Amino acid sequence: MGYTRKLAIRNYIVEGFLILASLIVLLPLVILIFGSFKTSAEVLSFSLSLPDTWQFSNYVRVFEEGGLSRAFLNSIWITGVSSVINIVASSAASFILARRETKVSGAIYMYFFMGLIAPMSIITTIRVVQGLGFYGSITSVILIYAALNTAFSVFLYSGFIKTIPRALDEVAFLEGASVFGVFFRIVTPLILPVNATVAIMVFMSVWNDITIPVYFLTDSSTWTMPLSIYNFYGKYSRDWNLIFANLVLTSLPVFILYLFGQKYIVSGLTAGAVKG
Amino acid sequence: MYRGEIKIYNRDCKRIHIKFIKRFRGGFALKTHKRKKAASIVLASLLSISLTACGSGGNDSGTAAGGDSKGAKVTLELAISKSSQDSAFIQQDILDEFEKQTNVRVNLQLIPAEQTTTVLQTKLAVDETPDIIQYNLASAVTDLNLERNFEILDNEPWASRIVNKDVLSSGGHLYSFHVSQDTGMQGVVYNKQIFEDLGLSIPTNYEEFLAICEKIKASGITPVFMPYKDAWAANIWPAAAFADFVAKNDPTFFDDLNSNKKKWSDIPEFKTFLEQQYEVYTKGYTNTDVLSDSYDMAVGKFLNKEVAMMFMGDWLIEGVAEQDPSMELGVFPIPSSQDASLGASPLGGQLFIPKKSKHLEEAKQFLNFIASKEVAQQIVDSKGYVSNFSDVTTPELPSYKQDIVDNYITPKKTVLTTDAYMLVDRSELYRLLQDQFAGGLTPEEVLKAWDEKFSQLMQDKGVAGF
Amino acid sequence: MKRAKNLYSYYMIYPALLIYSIFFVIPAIAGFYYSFTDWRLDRLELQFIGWDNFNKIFSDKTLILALQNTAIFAIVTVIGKNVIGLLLAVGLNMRLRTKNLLRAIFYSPSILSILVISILFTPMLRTEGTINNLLEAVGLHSLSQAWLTNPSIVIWTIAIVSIWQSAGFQMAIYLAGLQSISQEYYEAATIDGASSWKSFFKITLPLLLPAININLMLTLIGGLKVFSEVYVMTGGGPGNASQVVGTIILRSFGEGNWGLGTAVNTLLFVVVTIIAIPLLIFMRRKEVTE
Repeated sequence: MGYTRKLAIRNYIVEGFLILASLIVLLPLVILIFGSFKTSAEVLSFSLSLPDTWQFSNYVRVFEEGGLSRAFLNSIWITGVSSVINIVASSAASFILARRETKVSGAIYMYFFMGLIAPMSIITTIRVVQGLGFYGSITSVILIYAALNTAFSVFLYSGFIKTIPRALDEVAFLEGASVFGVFFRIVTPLILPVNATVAIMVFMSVWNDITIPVYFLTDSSTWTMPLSIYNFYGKYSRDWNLIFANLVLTSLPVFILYLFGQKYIVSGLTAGAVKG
Repeated sequence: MYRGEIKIYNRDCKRIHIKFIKRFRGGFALKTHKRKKAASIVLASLLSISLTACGSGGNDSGTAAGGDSKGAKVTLELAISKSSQDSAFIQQDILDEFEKQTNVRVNLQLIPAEQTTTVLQTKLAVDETPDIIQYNLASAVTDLNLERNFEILDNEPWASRIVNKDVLSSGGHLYSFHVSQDTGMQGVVYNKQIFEDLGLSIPTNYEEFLAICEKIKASGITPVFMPYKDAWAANIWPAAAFADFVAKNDPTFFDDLNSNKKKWSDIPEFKTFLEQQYEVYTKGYTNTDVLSDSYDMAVGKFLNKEVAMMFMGDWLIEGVAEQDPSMELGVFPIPSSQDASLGASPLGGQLFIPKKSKHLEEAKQFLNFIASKEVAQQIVDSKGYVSNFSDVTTPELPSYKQDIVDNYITPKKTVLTTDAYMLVDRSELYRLLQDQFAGGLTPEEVLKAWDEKFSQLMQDKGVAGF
Repeated sequence: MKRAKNLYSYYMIYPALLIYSIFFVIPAIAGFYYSFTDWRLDRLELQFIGWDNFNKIFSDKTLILALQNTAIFAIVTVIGKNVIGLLLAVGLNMRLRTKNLLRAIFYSPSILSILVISILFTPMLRTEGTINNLLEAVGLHSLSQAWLTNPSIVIWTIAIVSIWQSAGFQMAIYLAGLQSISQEYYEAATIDGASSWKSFFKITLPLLLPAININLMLTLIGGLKVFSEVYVMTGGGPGNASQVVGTIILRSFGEGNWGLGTAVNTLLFVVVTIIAIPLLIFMRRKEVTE
């Protein structure tokens, strides 16, 4: 009893401490959310106070002036497709690289890893896309995003796929499964926590990016949601309350995705298999 | 071994994995080959779906708003900063009218304000040039390499009707288009109401300026607002002060400077001017957070009557008036010397045509259209510009503008600020000024460091003499 | 037996390899070439000038300051993000009631783009801003600073903001790692009478190596290549006080000296590679494969 009791107390202390710590994190976010409901003058104090009146009209205005419905669709499409391509391709590649421990696979791994360090060069990328003949198209942006995040995804997957025991593969092979089958049917579900984590991170990184669309999408009707914030950078001043409302709306989809994906990260299946 | 009965336990000790393995039996061995194909087909189709679906998306937008567009309809790409969205040239009614008359559509490429320069530079570098660009002439010289990239417009049909060619030219040739000959006046923007209330008159020299600052401070209002987080704002005073001094005492200075015969540190008065601006701060006549307050706070500060003055251009007056037409602001010259002249630098918002535009003819057609008497008059009237066309009349100007015209432009008490003579980027100078305000550099050190950087930049650029 | 090694066919690597090579590697390598030229905004012709750009780099005083700042930023953020991230993960891996809510809260700052962060924090960090006001309210007036305008602490401020934003990200990765450690190990250890500290150091940390490796690499590379955080919060200022290598590159581009900017970028690439690759190899060797 003493041990369990101690455990329970320890948990409470930790929980209490963490709740306190979370307030540090919440502070600026609360300012953001409250600010988005304030009037233009009120928001300038950047304080924790509640709005005098809740200006829901801010959100309506932001939605309309920012063309958010179109921007949202653009973002969803671009982010969704490029994330899916990236995750599927990268996890498949990492699987092979993790299983085949040869010099070649090691070299390929390094090749991918360098992508984390090497700087992206916008001008030369534009030239490549021009050469392929589809500069300005959404497809080019999707493929660029898929490429840019490959290093990150491969890096993350490689680390975790190693924790899946080979024994599982071997059994499945004995059953006549192909390597595709092993990967998609056995390994992928087992690395669900990692899949969810990587998926959310790649999605987030693509969603929030504001440089690629500016250089590669010439038609502003194809712009993504985060860029809509520039609608509210006035010539002489900034309407912070509208900007905040815009930020809240833009961050909402990713946040919802995270809450949704949390479930899968939490319900993690253990990689430890018990052979019976 | 154990055929297909690997049991995986999750954290709740439930057996969940057996099903997977069981499914492998039977069907799998036969379908191995097909599975492999299936997976690669899935991947390939994902790619092709996005290619086809989005490929059309990319082309679609080109003719989206056209409606009845049959045949090869030309679309002009006009690149403009998002913050200039209220520019008269791109108002929808003008674009629609143009399309009606010529069947040429104008598509706006909006660029986020902060990235306008880099995006345009990149586009020019990769030959993805828009057909028309709206930009600031003075900056275009250095930022966008005006001479190399843009068409000379000397022989356009409307060129002969231009009254003031200087505000649209560089190096003797006409490069840009505007219906207005407004220049941005840079000096001390001030709240007329406050001056009246406190019985203050416009200072004619530095000592008088300090005196009125003292009076304003005593009344509880911050005399001067300095938003020097935006480093360029710290250069308004020096740019005007230097130019004014040089115009009266050393007219060839800038030529000498640009051919390395003289340096910034050579003129001791420059040091004084930098000291002056800093003194206003140290004497407590400004906002406390000089280095963290930014330009976008300025309008609010004036509207709330928290500040009385600011070293800025007269475009600020317009911004405040938009929010509150009852505010009366004016501008007087930077009081760095006795009876200084009002600084002037070309305004932005001119239209340029890149040489590599894919639709040169149509682009020039657009300029013709705007230059036409009716359209130009319409624009000039709606925006209150000083007309730059011989056959377009200037409407009644807002009072502050009229004041400027009467008190400074007509009696020729203006002087072009140093910006007009610069061939290189001045960001480092702005940063050095920030350093001065952070207490790190003396005016001497600022000028010396800027001299070094300046000659290095000129050398990199290949200017003769460096 | 049949196709022992070739069971894991290379076909599955091709999609990733293809996309990555075409849209990233080729442009990146082509980009490096410009470091050896006098590529400028104003010049039409491009001339190969060999190591000239690099010589110029080493004689630039502001660059020394930038290197210092970059080093400070990297060290502070690597330590801060990883320690805090790990502590959070361990804490939130326990059976707590508000576990899910807390995880979402701590992760949320990393969902916001850096633009958002700067827009939020820059006004709050003013001398009369929210942060200092709060400090005064709890009586810690002496701690209030000119966070973003005091040249000696500005880079530290930016580092702290970066940690605030990213620790949740590190936490998420550590959590994924912790979740893949089988409970059996702990149960066996408890049966053997090990204390929680011991099981932490002997079981958790070693089995967490993949996650540690990932976080270490990401924070290190991110720290050395830092750009947006500094650029949006101070632009390298006040003056040049918070310049880092990333912003110096932009400065060169702004001055029209594109070849030089690319050269600094290439140099950064080389430096990060020299630091990261040996570390990576070292860590990979230590990872436990089952």
